[in-house]
Amino acid sequence: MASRFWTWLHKKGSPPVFYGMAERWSPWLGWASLAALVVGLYGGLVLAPTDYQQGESYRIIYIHVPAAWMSLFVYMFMASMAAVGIIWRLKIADTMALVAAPIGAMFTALALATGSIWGKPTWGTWWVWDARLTSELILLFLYLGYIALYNAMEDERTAARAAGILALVGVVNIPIIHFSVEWWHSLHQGPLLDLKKGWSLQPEMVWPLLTTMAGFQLLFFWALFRRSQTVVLLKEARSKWVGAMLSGDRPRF
Amino acid sequence: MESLSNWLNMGGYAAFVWSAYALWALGFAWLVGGTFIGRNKALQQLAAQQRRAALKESPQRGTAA
Repeated sequence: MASRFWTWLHKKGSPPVFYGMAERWSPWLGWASLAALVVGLYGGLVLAPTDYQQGESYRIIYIHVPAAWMSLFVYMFMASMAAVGIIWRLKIADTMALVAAPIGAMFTALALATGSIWGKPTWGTWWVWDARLTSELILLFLYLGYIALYNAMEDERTAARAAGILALVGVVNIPIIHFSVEWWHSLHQGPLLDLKKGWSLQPEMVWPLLTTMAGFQLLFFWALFRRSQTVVLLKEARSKWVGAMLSGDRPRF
Repeated sequence: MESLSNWLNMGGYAAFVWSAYALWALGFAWLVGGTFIGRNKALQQLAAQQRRAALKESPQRGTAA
């Protein structure tokens, strides 16, 4: 059973098989992401009712919350891929971890910036050094540290291993970010979804949020697949299947 | 028309709401545009490599014949 799994894993992780799979999935992911973003943002900016406390400024939620969620999700994805790369030496996992890092850094920077813009009319300040904001800033530094460490080393395997260890150590920051608003007194509002009490938003406000979150998620996987394909192409430039693909033959993946 | 300007005004929070969305649009453009640009550059680079390799091979073939 275990050997079948490794065979399957290495087969799926082989560059031509991964390239073919990404080629098939990417258009669906791209168009689905675009549709979800258009519908979700229309719902959030136009259809959702005005918040009785924050007025219209709360509409920043439709990009801030998905960006903040993605900053955590992409980090966990990156760390998982780094772990797979370190433990099972699967090159495609290292590639995906490397590709995910700048995307995650972008989502984190976006969460911090939009949160700061939202904070000014809501709290009266752009920034406070509270647990949620500080731990999210540390997450951005972890992403940047991962990218810098990877690029600082010439040997690719050593770079992937060193940066991967940094990513795994940084996982400790994820629960801190998530639970910071419960563990410490914070200006930042509590979670929007309480498993016992349900949503702290009206249903008309919730569906556009879930739709934009789905759009961000699909966009991440679209960009991850397309960017990983690019890295795979450059790494495998001398292989037969890349040659066949460039010369117009449709290789069988 | 008035309802559009009301909507754009965002209850007086237009500067905050639209600047946040402008940042999102920049991030989106970077992600999507960067992905396409990177892919096109890589494909061009690989095609150029292949042309160079073909040019290298063709005179050799000529002398051998």
